[in-house]
Amino acid sequence: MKRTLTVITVLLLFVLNTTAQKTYTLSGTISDAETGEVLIGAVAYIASEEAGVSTNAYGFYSLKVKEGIYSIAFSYLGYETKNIEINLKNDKKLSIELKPAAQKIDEVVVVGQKKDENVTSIEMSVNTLPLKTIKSLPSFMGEVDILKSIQMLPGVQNVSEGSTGFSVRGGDVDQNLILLDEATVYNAGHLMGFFSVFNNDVIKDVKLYKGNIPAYSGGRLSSLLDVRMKEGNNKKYEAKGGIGTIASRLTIEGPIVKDRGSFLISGRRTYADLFIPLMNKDDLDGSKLYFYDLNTKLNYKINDNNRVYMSGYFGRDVFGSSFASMGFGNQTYTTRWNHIFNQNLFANLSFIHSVYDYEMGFKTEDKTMGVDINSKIKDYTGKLDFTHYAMNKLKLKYGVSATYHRFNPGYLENTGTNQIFENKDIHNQNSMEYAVYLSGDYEIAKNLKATIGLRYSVFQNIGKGTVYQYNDNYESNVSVSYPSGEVFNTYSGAEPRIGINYTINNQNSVKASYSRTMQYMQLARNSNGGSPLDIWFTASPNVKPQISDQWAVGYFRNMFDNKLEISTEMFYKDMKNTIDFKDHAQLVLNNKLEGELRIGDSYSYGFEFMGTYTSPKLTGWISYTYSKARRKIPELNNGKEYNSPFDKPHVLNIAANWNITNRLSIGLTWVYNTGAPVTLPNQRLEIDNTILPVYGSKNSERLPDYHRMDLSVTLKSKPKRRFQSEWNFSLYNLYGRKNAYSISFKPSDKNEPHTIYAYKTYLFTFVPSITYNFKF
Amino acid sequence: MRRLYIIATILILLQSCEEKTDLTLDTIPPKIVVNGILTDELIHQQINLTKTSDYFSNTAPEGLSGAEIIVVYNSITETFSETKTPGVYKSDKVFKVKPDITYNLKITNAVLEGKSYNLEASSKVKESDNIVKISLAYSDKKESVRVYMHAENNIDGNNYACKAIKNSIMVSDTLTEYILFTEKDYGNISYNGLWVYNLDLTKPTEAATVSDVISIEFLNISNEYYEFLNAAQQAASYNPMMSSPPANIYTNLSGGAIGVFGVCTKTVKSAILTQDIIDKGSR
Repeated sequence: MKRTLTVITVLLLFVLNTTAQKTYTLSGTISDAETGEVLIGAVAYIASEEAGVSTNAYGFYSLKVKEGIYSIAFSYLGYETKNIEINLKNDKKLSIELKPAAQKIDEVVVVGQKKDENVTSIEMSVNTLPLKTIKSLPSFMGEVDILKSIQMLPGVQNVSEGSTGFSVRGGDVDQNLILLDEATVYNAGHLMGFFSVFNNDVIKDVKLYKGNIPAYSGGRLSSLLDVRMKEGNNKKYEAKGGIGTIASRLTIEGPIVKDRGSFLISGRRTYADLFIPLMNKDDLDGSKLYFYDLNTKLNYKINDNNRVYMSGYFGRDVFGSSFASMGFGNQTYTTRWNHIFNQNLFANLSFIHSVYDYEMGFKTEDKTMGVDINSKIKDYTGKLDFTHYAMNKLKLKYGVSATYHRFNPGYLENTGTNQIFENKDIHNQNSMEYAVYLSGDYEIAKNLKATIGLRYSVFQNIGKGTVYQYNDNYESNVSVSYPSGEVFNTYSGAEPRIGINYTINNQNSVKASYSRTMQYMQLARNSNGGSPLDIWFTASPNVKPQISDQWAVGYFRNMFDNKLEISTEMFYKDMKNTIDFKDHAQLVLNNKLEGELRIGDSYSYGFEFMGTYTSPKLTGWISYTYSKARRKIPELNNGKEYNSPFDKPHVLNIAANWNITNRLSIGLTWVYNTGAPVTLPNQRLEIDNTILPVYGSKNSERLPDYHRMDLSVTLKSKPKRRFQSEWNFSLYNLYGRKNAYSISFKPSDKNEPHTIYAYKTYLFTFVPSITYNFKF
Repeated sequence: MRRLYIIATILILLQSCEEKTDLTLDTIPPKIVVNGILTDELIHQQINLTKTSDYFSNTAPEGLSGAEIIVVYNSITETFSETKTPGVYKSDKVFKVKPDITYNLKITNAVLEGKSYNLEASSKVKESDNIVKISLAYSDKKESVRVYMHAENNIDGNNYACKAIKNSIMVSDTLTEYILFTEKDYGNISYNGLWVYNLDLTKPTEAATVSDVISIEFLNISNEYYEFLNAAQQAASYNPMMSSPPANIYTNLSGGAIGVFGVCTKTVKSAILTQDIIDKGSR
């Protein structure tokens, strides 16, 4: 009893203490002085109070301090720090504009926003790539690519050479949630995956969460890639662009009303098809081969408390020949309303629409035979997110979201004059995905911070729909149909997300995290490289949601006045309801696709190291990952555990950028990884004069190890000119290594009827490119 | 669609190349291979038994001798005996396959590396469609002769393997050259006017001129044989850049063997390539 009284007394004293000393709130936005773009992750810091806060995704900050006079430092890497003295006697709004640092050579950034972010942030398993860093890397065919840049980070690996598809910590490519201004991008690749849909000229911020994904996000097991578009310059009109080896870009931005609203429009198109006539091949006459992107954005600040944004992305790949055609593309639409209820409460309301579709077809010359095949995905999302600055030590985030998914997996239409093929419509899949979340960043003690979050997600299959019932042999002759609007299946689950940071001192910290993620949709992807024609399908009564539990611990250290940042992490990821496919699975136009699935478990574990160095002359990083990724699916590989296709134990990446002068810089990257697992034949049989393979274990062999060096030289025009330009010369695969993309086997000629040889296919050796970029 | 990918790949991957490479592959124990296709011709039916060998052994398959083979159908047992060629077994009596009857294969005492195997498989084929004729058409670009199938009735679920014959010489002499089609792929296909074969005029064996007799051997095949041929074709033409992950070829043999036991009925239809067809350029 005495103890209870003591506790109550202490609490009362605490409350009295807090009410006796008045606390006021300082809030506002931090933005770029030249463009008006809000800065994500900029910092407001009061050194005397050791109190600070960083801006959210919309540049908003809120800081509570007691009445008094303070010197507040507003900072963002690459920008001049602004110190403002303020006499705080009541709540105050203070929006700040920061100037980009004058000496460009000093502003090169590798990762992170705050100088000691690596150590002090609770976040772990997160990498941020500023666009300046991405642009400093050597390009491939003249196009510097976000998705290829993130493949240089620890724990991330590409699925094949040149591909924008990536695997995070052993997860499958469909386990990455890729968002562009909050809208899901279902296929982030162009031109068979060799280029991404992201045009660097319009990208403001790229953040990759490899674990401990924030509670506000969900729906994928392995990662969140959050890509934010620029808003557009609200101070002056500006144009920039580039002319590259295979594509050109042009971006125009400017104010609608100065300092209140702006627009941005950007386009990119390839012109490989223009060279087709030069190839002088009749087969290719009339062929089309190009892709384009169009990014648009509008924003308008209604008043200090209200701002609206509208953004859109429209991209498409077009292939065509005299007998066949194929096209695929994404569209995203995002409308957002930022509202500041009061100095402590920021809200964002978003309405988002995503579309992904593909179509392909062929027709014979006489038009007697022909088919068209179409597939489409549509998402409609509404979400409301709050950032609540309850105390300096406690920042809450909470919100709700709801998404309606409409998947049309395929429709085949006979377009020939002969009705040889019957029209075929694969059953649509309709579903709702809801989520509610609450998370808090809390400073438990001076050196101990935690983020504790909980997301609760619900998934419902909704009619009109058809569900097949399968026997133990995955055969089905029975189906149940549900009328439009009927909810016929529900899954739900809690997804806790916990992160802890113990800061030993300004240079050292240890962090730990645990997160559970659930995924209610997946990709039917049966080819090794993946294709735009892969099919997304949802959870159902036959397909349970995938679940991942991930644990990670890490040690973080900054040295040499934060010039050198070191992070080391170990993780273990346990995944349930992992999907693979039976041998010779039929995935296209198959109403019984679920009968082709084989479901089991998988796991991955690993160690990651990353060291980044930032100095005026030299920036760069080294990342190394050791990891294993294994699957166990009872009906595959005779029930034995096997390597995931993404099991590459050793991955080493080195990137460096040397600023020789203010105008001349050299970029160099070197990548190495263990060869990807493959299934190769061990024995042979021969039937009807044909040699056929007999395979042993699944994914038990490996391609040869992969390594490559790229080089770039960038020459900028003289600074302080109105018209700025730069030439970028890149050489991909500097020493011309013939890395095996794949291994295939071919029989010899008829003189050696029983002889077969192995062949290595390699894609790129010495790919030079030149890009001219300009801005005025 | 595969051709589209090829065009795209040519244009994008101008520098992609291929070269021979040396590989060392893991060794696994050999397996028994059964190749037994029974037809509706009244002949001594044949079943071959061989052994798998290391993938780069680069030798002809070795026959497996000493096995006992019977085929049972409608309470009738047909016994097979090994010929002088090791691993080649022929039925003691002539018999022919009939539609809608299940044929059961039983192999006993097949000894491989000291272990005796008992193997079983079954197969049944449906009645064939009534294939009336084939017709020919020259492609617009004069690169190929298209062969169209014309059938009167349409029996659900049939599978066909087509082989081309030019002037009595078999053009499709390897398994990869058979043309397969089934109603399972694209719903109900009309077999009246279906394009079933393309004679490539740039190949010496397929180049056809006026008065040449083009024949198509339509094998109406059991589901098991179709599954095997389909998987075998995929495996033989496997392209890691475009194909599904490699997997062992379908087999309907139980007891640890691979290969196929299937039944089929055969129809051969012929047409003569005339000047009129060539002049017309398309059908």
